[in-house]
Amino acid sequence: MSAHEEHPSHVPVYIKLAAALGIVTAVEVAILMMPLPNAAMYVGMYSLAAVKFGFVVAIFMHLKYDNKLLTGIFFSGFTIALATMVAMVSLINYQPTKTSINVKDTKELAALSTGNAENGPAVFKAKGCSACHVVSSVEGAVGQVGPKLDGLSERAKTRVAGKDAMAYIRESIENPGAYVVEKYPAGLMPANLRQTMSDQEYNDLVAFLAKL
Amino acid sequence: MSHAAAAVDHQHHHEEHHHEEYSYTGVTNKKVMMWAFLASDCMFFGTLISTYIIYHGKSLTGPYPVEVLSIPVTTASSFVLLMSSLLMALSVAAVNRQDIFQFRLWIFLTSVFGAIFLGFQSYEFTEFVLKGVTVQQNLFGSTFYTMTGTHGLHVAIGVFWLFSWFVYSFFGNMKDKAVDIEVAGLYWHFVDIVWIVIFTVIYLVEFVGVKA
Repeated sequence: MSAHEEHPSHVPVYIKLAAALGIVTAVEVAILMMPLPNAAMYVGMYSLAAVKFGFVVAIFMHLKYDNKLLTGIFFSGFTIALATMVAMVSLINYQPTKTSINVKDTKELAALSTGNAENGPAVFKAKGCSACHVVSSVEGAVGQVGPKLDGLSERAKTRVAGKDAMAYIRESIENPGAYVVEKYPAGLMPANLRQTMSDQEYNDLVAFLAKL
Repeated sequence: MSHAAAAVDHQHHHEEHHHEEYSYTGVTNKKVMMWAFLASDCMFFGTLISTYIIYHGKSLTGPYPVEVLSIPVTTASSFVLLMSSLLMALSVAAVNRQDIFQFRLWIFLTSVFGAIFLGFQSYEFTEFVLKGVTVQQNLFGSTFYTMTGTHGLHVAIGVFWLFSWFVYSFFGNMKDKAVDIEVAGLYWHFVDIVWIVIFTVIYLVEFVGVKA
C-alpha cells in the first residue's frame, strides 16, 4: 500500500512552494502598477500564471513524482482544451477581408483611379501647398509651417494603423485635422483644399505625393 | 491480550488491510479515474473561459467588467485558495504518515479556507448584483457568472468532500484511506489551478493599460 511506502517527506518543499506562489501572485498584481508597456504586462502575467499552474501540478499534485501515465492523461486533455481555446478565440472574430475575397466597393475603385504623377507638381504649386511644405524636387516649395514632404511615401505607410500610404495621404488632404504630425499645430491646413480641385487634379496630386 | 482477542484483532487488522485496486500500469484505478476526470474538466473550463474571452468587450450595455471587478478583493481570495492548496498537500502528507491528529487539523483548515473563498465569492456576486450586473444584464454578466459560478460550484463540492473526510476520521479508520485523500486532494488542487487561470485572464488582464 502506498501509504506504507517510505519516501522522503515533501512537506518542506510544499511550504517553500506555497511561499513562492504567494510571492508570485503579489508580483502579478504589482505588474499592473508598474509603468510597463501593455505587451510586457501581458507576457509577464500569462507567463507567471503558467509558472504557478505548472508548479502546483508538478509538486502539489505530485505529477513530478508520479507515474508518467498520469501526466500523459492530464496533458492530453489539457492540450485539447488549450487548442480549442486558441481556435475559438482566434477564429470567432475572423471576417474574410475585402482583399482576401477580391471585392472592392465603388469608393475603393474610385480611390484606385490613377492620377498622373507628372502633373502633380503643377497642382501642388497652383493650390499653394509650396507656401507651407518643403518638397526638394519642386522649385519654390520651401515653406516651413507644415511638415516636410520629402520621403512622404515611407512615413505615410506607418502613420495611422490600418491606413496605407494612399489612404493616409488622401485623408491628410481631405480632412487635415484627422492626423496632425507631432510638433505641428492643428487647424492650420485649410480643410477645403479637396473641394478646390477637380478629381483629375486631386488624383494627379495624390499620385505625385505618393512617390515622394 | 488473550489468544482469542489477539486472533480477533489479527483478523480485524487483516480485513481492513485489503488492497487498493491497481490498474496493470501499477497506478491505482482511483487516481487514473481522477486524472481522466480532471483532463475532461480542463476542456469544460476551457470552453467557459474562451466563451468569456470571446464575448469580452461585446456587451451593449454596462456595467462593464472594468467598472466592477475588484483586484484587491480577488487577490485576497486567490491567496486564500493558494494557501488552501498547501493545507491540502499537508493533509495528504499527514495521512500518508498516518498522523491522524495532523490530518484532521489540515483537512479541517483546508475546507475552512475553501469556505472563506466561497465567502469572498458570495460577497463579490452580491456587490455585482447591487451594481446591476446580473446574468441577464449583458454578455459580461452571462459569461462571468457562468464561468465563476461553475468554479464556485467545484469549490463547494470540494469543501463538502473534504469536510466529510474530516468527519469520517472521527468515526472510521483512516488506515487504507490514503489514496482516497490523495484523490480528493488532486480535485482540490485542480480547482486551485483553474482559479490561477481565471484570476489572470479575467481579473488581472482586464486592467492592463487602465490607469489605477
